[in-house]
Amino acid sequence: MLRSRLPRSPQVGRGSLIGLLLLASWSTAKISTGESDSGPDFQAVPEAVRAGASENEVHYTIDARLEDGSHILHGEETVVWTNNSGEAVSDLWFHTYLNAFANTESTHLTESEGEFRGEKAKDGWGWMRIESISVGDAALGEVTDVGASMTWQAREDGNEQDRTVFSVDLLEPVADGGSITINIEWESQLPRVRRRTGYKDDFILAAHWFPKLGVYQAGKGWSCHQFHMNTEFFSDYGTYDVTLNFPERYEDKVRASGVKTLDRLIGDGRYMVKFKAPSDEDREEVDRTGKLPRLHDFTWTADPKFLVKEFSFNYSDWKKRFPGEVDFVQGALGSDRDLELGAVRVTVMIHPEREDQAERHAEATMAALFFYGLWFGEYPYEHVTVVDPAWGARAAGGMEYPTLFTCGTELGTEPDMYSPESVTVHECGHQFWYGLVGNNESENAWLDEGFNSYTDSEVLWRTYGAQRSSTSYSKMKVYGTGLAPLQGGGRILQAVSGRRYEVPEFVPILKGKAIEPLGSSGLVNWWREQPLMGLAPEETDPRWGDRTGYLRDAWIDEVDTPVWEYANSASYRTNSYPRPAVILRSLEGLVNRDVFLRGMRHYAETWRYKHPTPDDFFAAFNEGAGVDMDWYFEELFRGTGTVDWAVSVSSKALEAPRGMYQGESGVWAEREETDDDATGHRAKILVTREGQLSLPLEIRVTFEGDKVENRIWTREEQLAQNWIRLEFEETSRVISVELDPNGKWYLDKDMSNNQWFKEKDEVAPVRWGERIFSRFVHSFHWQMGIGG
Amino acid sequence: MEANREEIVDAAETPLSNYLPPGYDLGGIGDEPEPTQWTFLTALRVTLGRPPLWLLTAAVPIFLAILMALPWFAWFQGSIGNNYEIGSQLGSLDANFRQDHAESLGVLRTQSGVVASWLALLLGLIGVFTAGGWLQVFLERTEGHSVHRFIYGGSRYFWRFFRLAILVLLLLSAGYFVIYRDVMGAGLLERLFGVEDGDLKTLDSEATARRYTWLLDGTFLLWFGLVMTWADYTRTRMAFLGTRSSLWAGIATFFTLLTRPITAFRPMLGLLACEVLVAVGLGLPASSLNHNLDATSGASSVGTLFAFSVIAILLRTVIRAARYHSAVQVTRELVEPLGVDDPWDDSVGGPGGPRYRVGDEELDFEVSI
Repeated sequence: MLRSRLPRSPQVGRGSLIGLLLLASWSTAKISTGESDSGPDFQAVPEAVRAGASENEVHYTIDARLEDGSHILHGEETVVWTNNSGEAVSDLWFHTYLNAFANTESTHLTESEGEFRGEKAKDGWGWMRIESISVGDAALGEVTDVGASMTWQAREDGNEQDRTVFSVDLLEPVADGGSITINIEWESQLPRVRRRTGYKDDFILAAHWFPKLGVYQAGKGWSCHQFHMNTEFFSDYGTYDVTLNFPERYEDKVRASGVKTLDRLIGDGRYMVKFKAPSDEDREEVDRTGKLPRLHDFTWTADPKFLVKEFSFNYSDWKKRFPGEVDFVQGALGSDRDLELGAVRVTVMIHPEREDQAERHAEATMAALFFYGLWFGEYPYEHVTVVDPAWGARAAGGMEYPTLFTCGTELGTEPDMYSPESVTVHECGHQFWYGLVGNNESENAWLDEGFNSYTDSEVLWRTYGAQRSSTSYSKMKVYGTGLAPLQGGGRILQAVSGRRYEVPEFVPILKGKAIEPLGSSGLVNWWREQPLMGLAPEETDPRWGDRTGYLRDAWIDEVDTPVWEYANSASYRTNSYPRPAVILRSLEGLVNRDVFLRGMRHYAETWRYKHPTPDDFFAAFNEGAGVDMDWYFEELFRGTGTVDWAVSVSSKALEAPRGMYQGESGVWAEREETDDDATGHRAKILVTREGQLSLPLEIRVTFEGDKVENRIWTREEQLAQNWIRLEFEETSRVISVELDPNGKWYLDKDMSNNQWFKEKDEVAPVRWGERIFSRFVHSFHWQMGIGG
Repeated sequence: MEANREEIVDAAETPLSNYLPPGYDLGGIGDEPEPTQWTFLTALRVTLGRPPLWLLTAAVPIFLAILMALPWFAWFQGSIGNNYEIGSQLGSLDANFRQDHAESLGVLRTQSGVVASWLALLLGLIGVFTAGGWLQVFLERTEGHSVHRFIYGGSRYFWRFFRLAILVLLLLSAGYFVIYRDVMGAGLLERLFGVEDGDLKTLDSEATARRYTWLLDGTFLLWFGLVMTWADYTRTRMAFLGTRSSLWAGIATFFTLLTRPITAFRPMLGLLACEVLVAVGLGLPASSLNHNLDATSGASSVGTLFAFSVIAILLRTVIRAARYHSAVQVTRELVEPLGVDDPWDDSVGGPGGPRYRVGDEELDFEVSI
């Protein structure tokens, strides 16, 4: 092993070898007895969390051979499945997701209207054929063929052409606690990579490449969904022993989930490599939560052109970089909590032309390992592989698989452009949300994508600061963006500005063509726009960037919706990614960060290597945080309410009373000014709330002389009335009123009306007017030059 | 008499230089130095010596860009108003500002795009006009009344240069079609480099794909520059020779450029280098200042940014005009003046004085007008 392993549990750390042996033997025994895998939990899993904590366990042994040139895999697998569901199970359901790429009538391609990320699917199909399936231990000669009962399942849409899920009937049910061995021979044609899996030239990302069991859950049956356009994956935790056989040009250029245990050339132009996921050491050593590391999928990648770059994550290095964060987490979780994180070997698979980005991938990966581990518990495996797909295989990028993930980048970027950093942090983050906490990605994608979006923004902000936007000219990036377009859209405006003239239909030779004298061309665009002088800086705090994403499509669906039931892809994206992130960040503001951290950590540790539902999250969070936030969860995750607070201020100098006054004698006389007349100011502040959500709102009023008044407009007050008026009579004037001054409510629909300042910013409008001037003046000069 | 009037009209269309006898001295104005590698510097010096003209020319885009900026300025005044802390939106507009004002910002962008499109057309026409103005001034070598002669030249050559501008657009679109569409964008890349369907993603290397992009963009940039230079020389030729057909002038110019490329392109490359120098020399500090503005920056920083752009446009306008001066110098060297019938060929007498016909036996003498 390359790394020096740090102790994973307090017991092991104290050198309790006997304890370790006992734990190991206990865990080994439970596979055969079907006991719960919750194990001896040092963080004490609470009773309140649902009984469904018991999870099935699965062990795959796979042997597969890749045929040269055709990208066909021939494979055999033996699956030992232990039923811990609490019910007897009489059938088995499998995913065969490669068949989503078989034709345009699969559910996946029907939903995407025959397109992969905007490209028509027309060739490079992928499929999987089950050659045989039997149950029983072949070594004992007790094998029963169940292939005759094989049935394609399409529960969600009844699509007969969809072959992404099949089931077989068992002659005898698998009793609760019992195990069954399944033997499958299959053949897979990998597709041309267009989405998540496949090949491009010699590059291969093999995901969903073998028949994989679904998840059986008591009272619910098999959770084994078809492969929809936007759904991802769900399967049981277990172990994988995989042997792969390649053409020899792939020697040492194959990596997979887990660790490589053996590889060698085996003659006949072939190369053989074995993987174990998790590694033997990881399988046998409990992590800091006292559980045995398991994972729930196995993916591999190969490319003869890959450079294999090795890095090492060390907690102490990162602790030195972010001591304040470590101290905060220590304070939030308790001084007795061991925050130490184990060393992790980071392998980056990257093409030579991007070699200088390997370190940036590694840095981003380590940032994720550090912050996610610090907040939600240690990454328990010894190894993680980062894959930067080959050029033209970008569709394979940005995908998470256990201990291996794909990212993606392009040449000529800087870290503050967030490429590759943002994707790398996000996909590495999935090692925690999805990898360790294995929610059902088909039914509750937001539980991992949303949680991960929340966390990756926090990591990116802390590690890289704000993202700086750039504009590309001939694939060369210049910081800044064009604040205004240099021409309008539509046929007439394009023609007027010389960009594009549609040739009329009646012109025979050029029918359907366009004349584009001033069409877009990178270097000419550069000369036209003079980006050094004409662009405007644009920076984005990724945390607030989540809010932008949330508000794009905030009201169509509830967050807690099965993926295939969202109104459309836009709704899926909003409700699975930025909206839950914004809800979590606002929750953090509501309960305070230390409480939030305790709740989230408790959830992460309780549901590690398990399949939580939204209710499990709610319960675990409440329990860990010691709060009852059910009302918040219901309104935010299972509602579509929004809120917009606004403030308006009227401030006037107090005037001495004037007019006729009736004196004690009954005589009316004009009042004379006295030295006691008030000389202060009266401020009327009206705060309003629009929308269905009611959340406690801080109002900060600042007066001249730095006097500050803070007021909380409570949830109860807001439920009673949609507005509140504050009135102040002070000797000094109000100089500002700010709603939510600490920026807790990322949910607010419109934050432009959340503050009022007595002094106007006179320079900023000139600054942006100047940017518009500079953008247009160079373009106009260029346009004159076209004329003469 | 009618015949004489026609001759006078033709004479007005003929550049002054055609009427100068060999060796005639216009007090130094008539010196015709041969184009050298420093012609572009001479052109810059001469152009800079005519500030009313380049100020007038540069004022057009500057004025129109200010017009474009005014609604944006007003919009920002209204949007920022009392709602943002001083300086908070100065360095860059934060994500919340962009989000919260996205709708009205989108409307403003759309409206700006519409206006900018029409202004692009207008500016192209103004460019046609100013080209005539510059050529009139440089060919005449006017002293005094430059603005009048500039405007005269602009209107005088407008329609023939307008026709040439259409030719320029057609040539650019032909280049665009060849480079980016069916011919090179797909066919050549596929045949020469194996790029399937012109799709760079089918390559096995991003660096190679970038190089192809640069090849395509660079080729178009080269084509763009060549067309612009050809157009400048064609205009100059038309003005120099007083011809009207942009097509024939263009064809003739093409052959001139083909046969004397160094003489023709050298000053243009010199001026291009100057313009690049201006763009980068002013662009880099402007960019640095632009990206380093923060809440503490004041109006002077914004003013400096504005000044960078204005200075850049002034200098680029001078350089643009200097191209015409260079083109005039080169054209004088390379293009033979058209043979124009001398109406006084059969007479004697000094300019402006009485003319006496020679060999006319029926009349003893005649006074010329």
